[in-house]
Amino acid sequence: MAKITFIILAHENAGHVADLTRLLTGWDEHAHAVIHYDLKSSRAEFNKLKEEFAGSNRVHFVEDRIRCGWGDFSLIDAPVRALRLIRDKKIECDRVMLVSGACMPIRPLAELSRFLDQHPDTEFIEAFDSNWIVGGLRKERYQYWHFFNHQTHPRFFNYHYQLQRKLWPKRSFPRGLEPRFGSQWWCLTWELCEKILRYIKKHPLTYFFFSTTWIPDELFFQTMAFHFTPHQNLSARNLTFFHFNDWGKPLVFLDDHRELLREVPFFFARKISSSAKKLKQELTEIALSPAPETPVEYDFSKRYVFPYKELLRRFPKPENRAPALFQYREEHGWPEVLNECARSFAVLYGPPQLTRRAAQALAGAPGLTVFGRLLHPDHVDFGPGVKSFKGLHREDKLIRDFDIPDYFSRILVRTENLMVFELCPGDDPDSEIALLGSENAIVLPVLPAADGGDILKNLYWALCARPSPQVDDEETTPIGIFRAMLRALEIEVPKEHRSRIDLFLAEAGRTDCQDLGRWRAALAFQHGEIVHPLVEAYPAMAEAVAATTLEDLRAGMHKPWRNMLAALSEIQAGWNLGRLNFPVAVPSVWTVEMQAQALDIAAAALQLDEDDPATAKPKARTAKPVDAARPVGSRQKAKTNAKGKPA
Amino acid sequence: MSNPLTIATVQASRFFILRKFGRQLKPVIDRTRDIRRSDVLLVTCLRDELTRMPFFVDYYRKLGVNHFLVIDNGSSDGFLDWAKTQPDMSVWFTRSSYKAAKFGMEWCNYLLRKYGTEHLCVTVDPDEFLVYPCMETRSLRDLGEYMKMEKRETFHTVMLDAYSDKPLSQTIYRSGDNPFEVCPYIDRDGYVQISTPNMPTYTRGGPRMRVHNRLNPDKSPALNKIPVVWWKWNFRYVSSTHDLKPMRLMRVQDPFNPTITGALFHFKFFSSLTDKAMEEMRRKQHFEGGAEYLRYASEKDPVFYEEGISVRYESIEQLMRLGLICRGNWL
Repeated sequence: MAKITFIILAHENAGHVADLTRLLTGWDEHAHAVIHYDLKSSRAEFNKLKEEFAGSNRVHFVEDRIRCGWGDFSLIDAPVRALRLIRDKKIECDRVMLVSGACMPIRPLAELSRFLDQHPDTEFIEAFDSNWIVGGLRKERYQYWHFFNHQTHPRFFNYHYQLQRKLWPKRSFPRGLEPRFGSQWWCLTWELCEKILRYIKKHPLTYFFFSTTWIPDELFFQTMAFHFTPHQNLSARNLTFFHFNDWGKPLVFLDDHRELLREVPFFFARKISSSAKKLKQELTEIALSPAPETPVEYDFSKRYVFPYKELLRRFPKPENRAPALFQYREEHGWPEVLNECARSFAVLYGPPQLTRRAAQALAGAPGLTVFGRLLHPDHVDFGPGVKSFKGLHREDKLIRDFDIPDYFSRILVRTENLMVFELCPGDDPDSEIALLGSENAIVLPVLPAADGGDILKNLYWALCARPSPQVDDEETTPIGIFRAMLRALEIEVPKEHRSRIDLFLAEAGRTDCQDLGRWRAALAFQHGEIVHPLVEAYPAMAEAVAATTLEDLRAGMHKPWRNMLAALSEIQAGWNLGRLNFPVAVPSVWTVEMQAQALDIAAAALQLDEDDPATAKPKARTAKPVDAARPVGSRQKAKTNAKGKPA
Repeated sequence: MSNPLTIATVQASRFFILRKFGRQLKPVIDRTRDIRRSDVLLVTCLRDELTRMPFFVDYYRKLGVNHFLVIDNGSSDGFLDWAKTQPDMSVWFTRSSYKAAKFGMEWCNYLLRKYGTEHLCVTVDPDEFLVYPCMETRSLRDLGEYMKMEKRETFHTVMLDAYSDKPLSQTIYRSGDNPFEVCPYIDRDGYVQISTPNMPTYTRGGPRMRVHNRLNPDKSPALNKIPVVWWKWNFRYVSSTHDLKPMRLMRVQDPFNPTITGALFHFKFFSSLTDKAMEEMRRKQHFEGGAEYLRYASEKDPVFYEEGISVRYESIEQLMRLGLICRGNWL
């Protein structure tokens, strides 16, 4: 049986320290405890503690106590004083173990004793080079003088350090010693401790050198052990388990850490919370139990890595994968929602009358959840006749507009299968840019037939217009009605956004995938099996869109506007439902080239308008260049802009 | 605020303001001598809330509150007689204006500065119940120790309005009942968080936006609260526990580490709310002349339960999975 003497650095209340001391001395008649009670703690508590162990000859107290502080030299001086006491009192021991008042054994003490017997020459102390230190000062800890404590006087500490760096030469380490770092809590042989005491007596200046370093408790004993011991006798880790957080504070163990402590391959743990009564009770029982038959195989020749990050990763995470409330967010709004909620959805993009037909063709298809215009300016449209969807209501318009991305994500997490919804150009410009350009989106845009010419493009926008109370309906001539429609559109959609969408449609028409098989393969590659029902239903949708005649559109139009379409009866209206392999981005940054491109499109339209008086646009509108400086406005902004303009 | 002269002026005026409101408080039951240095304190301001008190006090005692500091703003339901039987409660009585005292907050500030400095302090209303990660096994003091380890002085919570699946008039709360059983439902989502210069985590939503402020979501009440604080003498609540000064205490987000947050269950939607709303409108002592109570009074017996949004509260893990609270790095 190894004779172990425990040095206890304590500042906790008397009852707590007494419990620990009784535990550490009670299991074996050769075990001693030397208590250094912090001078900062109250005198009364110390007296109480002394009274408690007045009759014991195995519990000793360091009488010339000092004030202890984190990172302070006192954490060297206190154990050294305790070691001197062991020497002076001639306490018989062959092992000395340094523990704190908050440490507890987590294995039977008898097992510890047996383990130490098996390794009689090993010094259980970490002694590594400066790479052991995770962050902050490394060699600077001893290269400069440190008189201030960073914990209590961070500013003085920093100024003093910076000043020295500028003015003062670096100190070299005491001759003959090599700086070594490691954890403060060690278990050494008494022979080594005696050597250290002799060294201190012989080299008082070296001892003083350590008193002016920063965090000497991770330096002094480690350096000494490295100096005096053959290196094969140094273990790579010590017997006490601990883990520091980013602030250098140790992890505190509570009642529910029992399982965790059962698994770590150590004999002691730091630090146990004073409120963890149950845990302490259990650990006491374990400590006093006899050593198990089969000794545990702990490898002390390698460092132990505590899987802290792994344990943190096991915590319950938000199901929608967005950061929890109040947590740091890298992005806000749409980018966050679309990136965090990695689910595919399909967008039917175009004038509402046409997308509605496509959506109707989808109705009842298994594996799809089909909604109407979710971003409809007047209500949340979950589909014809649908009042609510899993707690979200048709009348929720204001709540939706309060935070559109959040509301969209709520709908998205509530749909189990592929979500399909309609989107009309101008519903909400910001949302359109985000949704159409998203990698999660399968965009099916309604494209005016290429042979339809630009008149169809005008018709496309006219169909997106919505009768607005601000526009009078008294016009009777076709051109008057057309102007009224465009004025209504002006209120809904900012002009710049229209140019953007024109570019988008042109680009989408170019990349439209002709081969159904290839399109299907591309979608399956990007979104997986979930797209199959949509691909199956595509021909029906495309047919429904293509079959839409002017007469059908007329029927669905605002009544006073119907006459306008009658004037167009000569024209073959043809619409395609586009198939995009990959999302086509709506330009969100407006460049000079795009402006020129948009002007070309407008000029082409103008030329055509001159041939056909029925759809002639007011010249002022097309001739005016697109205002490049205007940012993407929300719908609200567009409205105020429109109000200011003469009709 | 960093100008020393501004700080000095503000603190000097704070001294006189607190002295003024402190003088309005008359100690009725004073057991403050029992407060020890490591105690967790709870400060609350109430009026005619005796029905709620037995469960409230038990709940927080179990979480590890050692002393209750109560401001009684003119109760007439025999609260004082009941409080005399409680061994860990000190009561101050006042009939002064609740509104003039910034909705009771100046009285709380006074008590917090006088007794709460260097303590872990919980400031809640009698209808608010704190939940935090690992609360089944860990006490408020453990939470406080963890906050100190992470160098955090405040614990941010989101207020979750709880309700039952019955109409309001049939949701009856009797003294001593567990409100978590009477009102077991909360909204699972729909909490909108924005960042303003004065409030980095301005959060709104829940049933009070869904039902009461459907037509004006912008006006719905803030849900972010800071009820648990390691109090220092210069801290102060401004008009409610939403708003804590100095400004650094309002910031939560840490780009490198998740921050521990909790929730505050708010049990307002009992049948007694209708009567209370009528009375509070008459007294006009609440925020914006009791505009919120006007909305409560104008709703005719609403049902807050909504299939698809409402979920039954089961455990802390559930709240973490819903993304409402976060365990941070508290192993």
